[in-house]
Amino acid sequence: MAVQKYSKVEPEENVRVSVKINGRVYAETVEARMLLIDFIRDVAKLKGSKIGCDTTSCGACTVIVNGRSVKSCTMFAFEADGAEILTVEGLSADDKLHPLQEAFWNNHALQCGYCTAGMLMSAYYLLKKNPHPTEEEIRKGLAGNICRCTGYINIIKAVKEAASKGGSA
Amino acid sequence: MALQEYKWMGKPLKVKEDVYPITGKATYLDDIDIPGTLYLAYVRSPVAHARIKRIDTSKALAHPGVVYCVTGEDVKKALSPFMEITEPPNGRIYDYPLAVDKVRYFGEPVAAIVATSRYAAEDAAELVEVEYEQLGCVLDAEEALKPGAPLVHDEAGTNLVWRGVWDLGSVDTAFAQADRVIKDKIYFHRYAPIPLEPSGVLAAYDESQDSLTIYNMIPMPMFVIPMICGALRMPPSKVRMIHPPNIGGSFGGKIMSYTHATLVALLAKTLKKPVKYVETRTENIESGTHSNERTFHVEVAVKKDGTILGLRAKIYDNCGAYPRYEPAGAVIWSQVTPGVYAVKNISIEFAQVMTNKGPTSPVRGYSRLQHNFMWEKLMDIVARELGLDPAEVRLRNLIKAADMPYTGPSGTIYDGGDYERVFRKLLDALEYTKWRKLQEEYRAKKRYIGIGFSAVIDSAANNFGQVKIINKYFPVSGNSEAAMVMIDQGGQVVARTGTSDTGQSHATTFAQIVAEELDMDPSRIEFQRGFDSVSGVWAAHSGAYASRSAVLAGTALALAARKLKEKVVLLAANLLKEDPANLVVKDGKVVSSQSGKQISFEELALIAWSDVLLLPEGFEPGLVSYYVYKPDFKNNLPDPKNRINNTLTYSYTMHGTVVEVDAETAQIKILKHVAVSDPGVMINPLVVEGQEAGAAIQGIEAALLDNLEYDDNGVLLASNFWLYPPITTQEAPNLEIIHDATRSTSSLTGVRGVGEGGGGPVGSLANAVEDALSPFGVKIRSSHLSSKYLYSLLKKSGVKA
Repeated sequence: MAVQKYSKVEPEENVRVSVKINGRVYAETVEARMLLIDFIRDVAKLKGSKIGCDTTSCGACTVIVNGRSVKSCTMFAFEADGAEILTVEGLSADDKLHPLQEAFWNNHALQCGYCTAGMLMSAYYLLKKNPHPTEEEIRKGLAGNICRCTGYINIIKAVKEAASKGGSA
Repeated sequence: MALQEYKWMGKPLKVKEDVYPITGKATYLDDIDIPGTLYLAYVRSPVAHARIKRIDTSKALAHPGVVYCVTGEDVKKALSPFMEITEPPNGRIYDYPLAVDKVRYFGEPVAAIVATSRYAAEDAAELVEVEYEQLGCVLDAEEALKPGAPLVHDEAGTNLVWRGVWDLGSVDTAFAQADRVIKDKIYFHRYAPIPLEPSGVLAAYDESQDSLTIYNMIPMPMFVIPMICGALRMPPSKVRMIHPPNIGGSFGGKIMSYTHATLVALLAKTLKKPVKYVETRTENIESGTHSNERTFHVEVAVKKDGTILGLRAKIYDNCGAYPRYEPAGAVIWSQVTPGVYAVKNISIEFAQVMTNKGPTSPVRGYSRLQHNFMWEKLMDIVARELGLDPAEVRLRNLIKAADMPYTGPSGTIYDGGDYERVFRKLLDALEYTKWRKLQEEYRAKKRYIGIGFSAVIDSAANNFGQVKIINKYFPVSGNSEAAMVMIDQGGQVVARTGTSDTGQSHATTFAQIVAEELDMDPSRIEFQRGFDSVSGVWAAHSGAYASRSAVLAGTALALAARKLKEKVVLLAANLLKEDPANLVVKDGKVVSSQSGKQISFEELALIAWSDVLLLPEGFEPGLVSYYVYKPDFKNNLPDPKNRINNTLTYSYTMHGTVVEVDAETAQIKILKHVAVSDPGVMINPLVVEGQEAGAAIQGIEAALLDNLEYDDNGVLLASNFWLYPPITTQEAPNLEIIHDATRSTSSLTGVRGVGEGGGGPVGSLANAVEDALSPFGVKIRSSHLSSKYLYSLLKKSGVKA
C-alpha cells in the first residue's frame, strides 16, 4: 500500500486516490479523511458494500484489499491508493455466481441482505486461507460480521457447503 | 385441524430475491442518490432532562458546506405537533421532531444542520453551542408516579400515559379457593431492536406540483401519513411515500422514523432541494427506539397440584420520554392475556408511564413478550414454591386442544393447535429426563446445569384497533391490506401488495400464494417489491408489522387472484365459445376439460388490454383485479371490561434451554436449545424456519447481552456496538427447531403470522439459570442475565460454590 507517500496529511487536505476495484481503476481527488467505504460507495458508486455502524464492529463494509479482508470503514481511502480491491460486485465473473454466492442462495443465508456483502467477503477470505474450515473455524472467521436476521445458522451452513464445493476459488 | 394439501404453497422454494443482496445489486435507502442532495446531521442532548436556555448556531452556519440550521423553536413555528393517541391530560403533550424548550431524554435531537456533505454536516453539528439548565430526572416508572416526581411533560401535569383495569372472571372467588397464594415481583428490561441498516429518509420537493416525495423505510407507510401530513399541514395527496425494494431489517423499530421523515421533508420543502438523513449506529441505539421496560407485581392463587386458579397483577410500563405510537403497548399484551394457559380469573391493573429514558416502540414480540415472560416466570415460581416439576406445572395449566378455538378471558380467540402435544414434543426433543439425571450427577461434582422452559404466543395480524380501549375516539382501527394481481399486456402475471418486507422474502412467498390460486409455477409470477403510494396499492394499515403480511396480504392476494381468475375464465369462455364450468386455469392458460380447446394468458392479455374491439359486451378492458381484505371479527370493539377480539392468528413456540452456569464467574453456557412451534400452514418452510431461528437468537441475545442501562443522571451507558455488543457467531448457539403445524382456524389459507416469535428464549434462559443455581437459593426475577446481576445474586446467597 502507498501509505508512505504521505508523511503528514491534514484531514481536510485534498489528496489524489487511485484504486483498482474489481479490475477497474477509479481515480479521484478526495479529502484525506474520506473513509475507504465512502470512496467505494460514493466515488466508485459501488453500492453493494454497506455501512452498518460507526465503530468498525459490524463488518457490513468488508472488502478485500490486496488480498486481505478489511473493514473498509477502518481505513482512509488514501491509505488504499494504488491498491487492488475486490467487492461483492466483483465476486461473480461472466454472470456466473461464485460458489459462495450460490451457497448463500441455496441455504437462504440472508433475510434483509444488509450484512450479506460483508459476510460474503469475510467468507471469501476465510476460504482462501483455509479451504476446508471446521464449524469452529467458520464461526471464528465470521466473528467480525454481524447479522441481525438469521441467527447465523444458515450462513454457517452456506460456508460449509461452499467449502465442500471448492468455494476457495 | 389437519393441514390442507397445497400444490405450490408449503414448499421450501429457493428465495428468488436473495440473488440481489448476494450480487450487491439490492437497493436500500442509502443507495439512492439524487444529484444535489443535502445531508442532515442532528445536534443531540448530552443530558436527560434540562431546559434549553440558549442555542447558538452561528459558528455552525459559518462552517464550509453548511446550508441551513434549524432548532426546536423554528420547527415549532413551521410544524404542527404530532398527534397524540391518548386523550388529555396526556394528550396535551407537544411532540415535535426537535426538542422544544426542554430536552426529555439523553440523545434527544435539539437542532439539525443541513450541509452539502455528510462530513460537513456532522462537523458543523459539533459547533452548535447549547446551554442547558439541568432538571432532576426520573427514570423509574413507579417513581415517576409518586407525588413530587419531576414531570417529563409539564403541560400534561402527570407522567401517567394511561391506566387501565381488566377484571376478568371471578378473581376473588379464585383466591378464596386457593391452597396457596404466592406473591412476587418480576422485571423485564429495556433493549433495542437494532436492524443492521439504521433508519433513514430521503425527501425531495417538486415545486411544479407542490408535492413531496419521501423515500423511507417506515414499515407502516400509510399509517404514519396522518402524523407526517398533520405535522407538515399538507394533504396526503401531496405526499408520496416510497420504499426502496430492499429494507435492511426493522424488528419494529423503524416505525418511529416518522419523526425524521417529517423534519427531512420540511427541510426539503423549505430549501427546495433533496435532503437525506441516515442514522449513525450510535444514534440508532440511543434513540432509534427501545423496547418496553416493565415491572409486574404479581399474586397467584394456586392449588397444591400446581393448578393456577387466578392472577392479580399490577403492571408498570416505562415507555420513555414520548409515548408516540406507544400507548398501544399498554393494551396490545391483552391479546394474549392468559399466555398459553387456561387461567380464567385474571385481574390486571396496567399503568404506562413516561420517564426521562429514550422513547419506546414496537420491538419484535411487541408488548406480548414481556407478558409471556411474566407467565413463564410464574410457572417456575409456582413449581419451586410447591416443590413440583416445572414441566408438570405447565402441563397442568396449558390450554387443552379440545377447547380450541379457545376464547380467552379478555375476549381474544386462539385459532387452534395442540399446546400440550407441542410441549411434550419439546420434552422429548430436549431429552428432559436425561438432563434432569445429569443435573444430579453434575451437582455432586460442583457443576451446575439447569433446564428452563418458556412459551411465547404471538397474536399476529393484530389490530391497532386494540387502542380503542385507550381512546375510543382515535380514528385508526381495522386490519386492512390491499393487493393487486394482473396479467399484463405481455401475459406476465404481476402481483403487488401494500406490505413491503424488511427481510421476510415476500417476492417468493407471495408468488407461492398467487401460484396456488392460478395453479402455475410461482417462478413465472412477478411480485413487485417496494412500496409506492402513487403507483402501488395500499390500505391505510398496510405494512410489514405485527406479523401481518402472510395472513392479511396473503389473503388479499389470494382473493385478488381469485377475482382475476373469474375474469380470465369469463373472457376465455366467450372467446372459446365454451361453458365456463368446463374451463380449468392451469400453467398460464385456460383449457376446456370437454373439448380440449385452450387459450394462453398471452393471447387473452393481448385481447383484454389491446385488441379491445374483440371483447365481449360489457367486459371491462384489462386483466387486473384489486382486493382490499379486512377480516370480520365478532366483538371487535371493547366492552366495559376491556374485552375485545380483533387479532386473527396466534402462532406459538415453546422453548427449552439447557445451560451450565459457572457458580464462581457467573458465566452462562448454553448446552442445548430446542424450539417447537406451530406456525400453521407454512407458505415456505425455508422462510418460516429462517424467521424462527432469527427470533430465537435475538431472544437469547436479549437475555444474555442486550441491556440499555442508564446511570442515575439518565445518561445511557451503552450506545454503540462496542458498549452494546450484538450477538455474533461466537455466542449464537445452534438450535433445534421442530414444527408441529396445524391449520389456523381463522385465516383463509390456514397460515399463522410468524414474523415475531418474540423473545421466547428470554424466559427459558431465565428459568434455566435459576434452575442451575437453585442449590444457592438464587431467584431470577429479571429478564436480563448479566454476569453482574448473577454475581450479585450469588454473593447475596452466601453459599460457597
